[in-house]
Amino acid sequence: MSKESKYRLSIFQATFLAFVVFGSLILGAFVFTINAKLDKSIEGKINEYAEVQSKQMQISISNFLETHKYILKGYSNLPILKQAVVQPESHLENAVDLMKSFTFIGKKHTLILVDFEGSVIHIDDQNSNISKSIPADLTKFIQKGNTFLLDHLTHESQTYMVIGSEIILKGSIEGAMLLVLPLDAILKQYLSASIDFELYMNDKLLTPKINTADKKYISKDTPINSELSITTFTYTSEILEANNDFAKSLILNIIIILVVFLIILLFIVNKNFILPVTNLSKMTHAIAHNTENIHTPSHSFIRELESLKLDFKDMSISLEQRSFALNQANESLESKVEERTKELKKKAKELEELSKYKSEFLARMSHEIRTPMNAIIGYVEILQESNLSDEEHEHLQIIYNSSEALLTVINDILDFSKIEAGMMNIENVPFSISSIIKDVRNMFTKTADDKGLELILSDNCFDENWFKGDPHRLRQILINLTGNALKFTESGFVKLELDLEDSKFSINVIDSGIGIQTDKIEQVFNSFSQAEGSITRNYGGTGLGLPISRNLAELMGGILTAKSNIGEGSTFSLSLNLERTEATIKVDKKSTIIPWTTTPEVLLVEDNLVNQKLALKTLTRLNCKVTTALNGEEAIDQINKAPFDLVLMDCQMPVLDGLTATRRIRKDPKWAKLTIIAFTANATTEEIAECYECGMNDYISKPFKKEQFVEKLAKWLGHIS
Amino acid sequence: MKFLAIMLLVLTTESLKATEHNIYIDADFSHYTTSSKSIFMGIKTALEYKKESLQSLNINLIQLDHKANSRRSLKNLKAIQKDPKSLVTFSGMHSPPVLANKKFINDNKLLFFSPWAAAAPITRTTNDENWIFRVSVDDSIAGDFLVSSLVELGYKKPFLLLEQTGWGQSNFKTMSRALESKKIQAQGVEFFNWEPTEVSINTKIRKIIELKADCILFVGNANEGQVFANALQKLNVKVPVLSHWGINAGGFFKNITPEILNDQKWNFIQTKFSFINSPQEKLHKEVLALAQKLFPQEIKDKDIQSSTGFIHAFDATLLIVQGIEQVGTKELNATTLKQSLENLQKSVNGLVKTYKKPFSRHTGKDEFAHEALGIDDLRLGYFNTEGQVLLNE
Repeated sequence: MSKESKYRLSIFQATFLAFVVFGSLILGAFVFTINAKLDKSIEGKINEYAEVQSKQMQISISNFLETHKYILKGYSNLPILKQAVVQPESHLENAVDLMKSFTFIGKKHTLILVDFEGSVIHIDDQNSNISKSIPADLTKFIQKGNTFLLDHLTHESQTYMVIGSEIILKGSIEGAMLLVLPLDAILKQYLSASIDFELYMNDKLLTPKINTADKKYISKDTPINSELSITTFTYTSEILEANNDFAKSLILNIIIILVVFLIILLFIVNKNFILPVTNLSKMTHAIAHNTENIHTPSHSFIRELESLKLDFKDMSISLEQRSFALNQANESLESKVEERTKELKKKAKELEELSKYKSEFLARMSHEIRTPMNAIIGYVEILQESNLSDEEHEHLQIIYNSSEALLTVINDILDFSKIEAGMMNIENVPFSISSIIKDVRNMFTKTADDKGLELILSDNCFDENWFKGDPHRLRQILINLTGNALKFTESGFVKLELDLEDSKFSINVIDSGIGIQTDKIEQVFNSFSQAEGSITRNYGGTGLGLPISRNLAELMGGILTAKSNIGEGSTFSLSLNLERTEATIKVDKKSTIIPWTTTPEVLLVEDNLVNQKLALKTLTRLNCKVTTALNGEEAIDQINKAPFDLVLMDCQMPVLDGLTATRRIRKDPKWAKLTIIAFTANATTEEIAECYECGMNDYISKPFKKEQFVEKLAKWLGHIS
Repeated sequence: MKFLAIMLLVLTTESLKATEHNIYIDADFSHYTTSSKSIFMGIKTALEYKKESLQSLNINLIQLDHKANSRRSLKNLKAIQKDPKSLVTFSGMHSPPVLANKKFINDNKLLFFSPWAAAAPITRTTNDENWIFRVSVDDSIAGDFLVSSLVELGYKKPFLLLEQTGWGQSNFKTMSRALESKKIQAQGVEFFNWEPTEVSINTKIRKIIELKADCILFVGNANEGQVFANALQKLNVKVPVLSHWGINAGGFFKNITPEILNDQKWNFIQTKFSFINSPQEKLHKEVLALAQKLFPQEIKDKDIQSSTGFIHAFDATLLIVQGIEQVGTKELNATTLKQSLENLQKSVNGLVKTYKKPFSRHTGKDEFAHEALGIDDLRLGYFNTEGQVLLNE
């Protein structure tokens, strides 16, 4: 189980808990309701019961009295009695005998015969003494409208109720018969013995006062008639107790029923819901975690769960199949991939090799071409410095110019190839715009003069604006543009305009030349074509200049555009967005000032004797102490012998090439700080990268221009001064 | 002068007072009102008739209602006894109260007249002095008379239907004696109580039927009379009834139908005078006229309801007035009056007859000493369709 599930309940636990909670709630509600209802109903019931008891008593007593009254009335209606009260002198005897026989519900009671005045005519007396207690004035029994008058008397501390019935003859009350009822015994005998009561006649208590002691009771006052009322006492303790017992037993029963029910329900739910779900969950888990599935899905009566189980089965089978298919596909894919990778690797290798071949070729070509060129130009330069005649100087100049031209062509071709091979590298070093523009101007001053053209520079060309970029390539482009401008202008001017805007700048080369047909402008940037086929014939050139310039411009992150029209001159604009920077040291080209005061010890590693000699000479002139080596191995030996300030390492050498040698040298921590400059004819981006990678600090490309050479050296030897 | 005047006034009133006398009627004014009222009217008419003789006297006629209750009667008599001005008391038609209180009357020397109550013992006493007088039928001869009548009329199988009272009882005795002497066997005898139940009535009537009586000798009052009359009618018993005169009073006639009269031929004892069919003498006319004058509402034409009471009370009062005249107003009291009555010198012209020394002192030797009328004064009467009492010819 996951860590999270520690805080969660299992489905069974949850269900169980729910059952317990709900069961308790239901039970609680039940208990509460039962109690409340029972209490209420029992209150009501007790009241009802008391009412009923009271009513019963009332009815019993009422009945009792009514019965007696009725009987009494019957008796008093007997003609004998009527005659007896009217003519007692002759009829009393009969009446007396008759009265003796009068019974009331099987019981004999004292009867009093009274005349019209309320005087006693005769007393039929069970209890001979009672006559003493009879009230003297019985006239109220004779009063009209008092049929069945009730009264009471007390005799020997026993209470008696007196019921009087009038004897009416011809509508007038001629007398009355009174019935004297002993109260307690009679009432107790006839009425329910279990009910305590108090009988009141005109608010006077006739029966003994009931002492309820500490018993709980409800008393009810019920009138029986206008004179009598009864107060019944219903004892409630038993009922309340019974009620409580009932409530308890009811609650207990409910608890049992509820528990049993819930248990059964829990079983059913467990079997049909919980177990299937739990099993499914476990199965799912097993499958999800790829553990062995030991759980068998359990059956359920619930349709959805059963179908879930089956669907799950199907799903897992389907999953397996898919997984299998996936694996299969995977495998086939893998093999395919492997194959493809192999192919690709092969291709890549081929491409690599091709590229390597290409670059090797370029390097080789570059090297093979540049090396002799280097020699030519170098020695021509040397020669130019010696004392020669003017004609010789002229010849040298022609050689130099031709070499220069050739070099230009070769450079163009190599550059183009480099560019095509994607191996043109762009430097990112600080340079001054103005110096470049000035260089270009200087370069073409003579040409312009010779042609009678004005070579103008905008004023701001002389401002010191330093950028970071590739000054060589920039120069190259400008040279190309300016050269073209001069070439194609017969009269007028060529202006170099600097348009400066923050880091963006444009150099416009404007001429008043022949111009280019507007729709053919783009064509001039296409390699291997010129605006017109006749151009080559008239103006020469490889036609690679502009394409190369454009490419270089694009490589520098800028653009080269042109605006022109036939006969209206042209404006070529180079727009670049370069990083501004601070000024750095500038080495004057023509100056022979040696930047260092001491004599740097330089190790020159160059296998080509021609180049070696050239370099040697240059170095010597620069007041360097030069040691030479023909290959890397010799270089290492030399280094180990004596300290050097700088090592100029050619790259392509036999025995041990420069790169490897450098690596070896750098392995020794002693030579970590040793400045090693690559001296290479093969300045492709790759090569240069490799040089750096080997541990070289910088590079000088061959053929080198002296000022470049000096610049680089100065840079690295600058610390020496 | 003023003092004298006052004294004179007082004396006069005193003297006036002295001549005041009360005559009481103690009768049933509740249930047998008519009979009691007729007595009242008789007395009143007589007093009016003899107005001149009573000039100096202030006689009040006071009605007391005993409702046929002996005890009530006793109460009344006690009150009369307490009254110093009481002169004479008349009874009503009921004998039982008189019988019940006879002792009291005689013991207390209350001058008493019965204008109707017929029970024999009323006018007989063991006391030295008998204070009760009667101008009415005497039951001791009534029974004889009825028996003689039935013999005269040719009946041989009488059935005795008698009230269960002293009156009834005394009649039974006399009737039994008379029948025996006439050698007639009574078929049966039944006593009934006042307000008899239907059951008891029917039982008795069935007996009459069973025993095949040819006539009924009835002694009862009007109420019981009409009850039996109706019952007999219902049971289709067309037997003639010879009745004591009790039925004459009250609502007998009112409660019977002409068929009953026809079928049952109720004949009852009467004294020999009837306003309707007795010879019309001057006295009768005068009296009737006077009565009519005095009681225009009650007496219309010759019809006096319960005339028996009127007639006898009238005659009794004449006798009393005669007694008063004889005594003289100055020494008039109950005692002197009684003595005077027992020794009336002059004869009195009454309605029934002319009375010549009707009373004598009751010594026990002559049981009829205080009886004004005798057997010769009796006749059978009957109701006509208008309810008037007529005498048999």
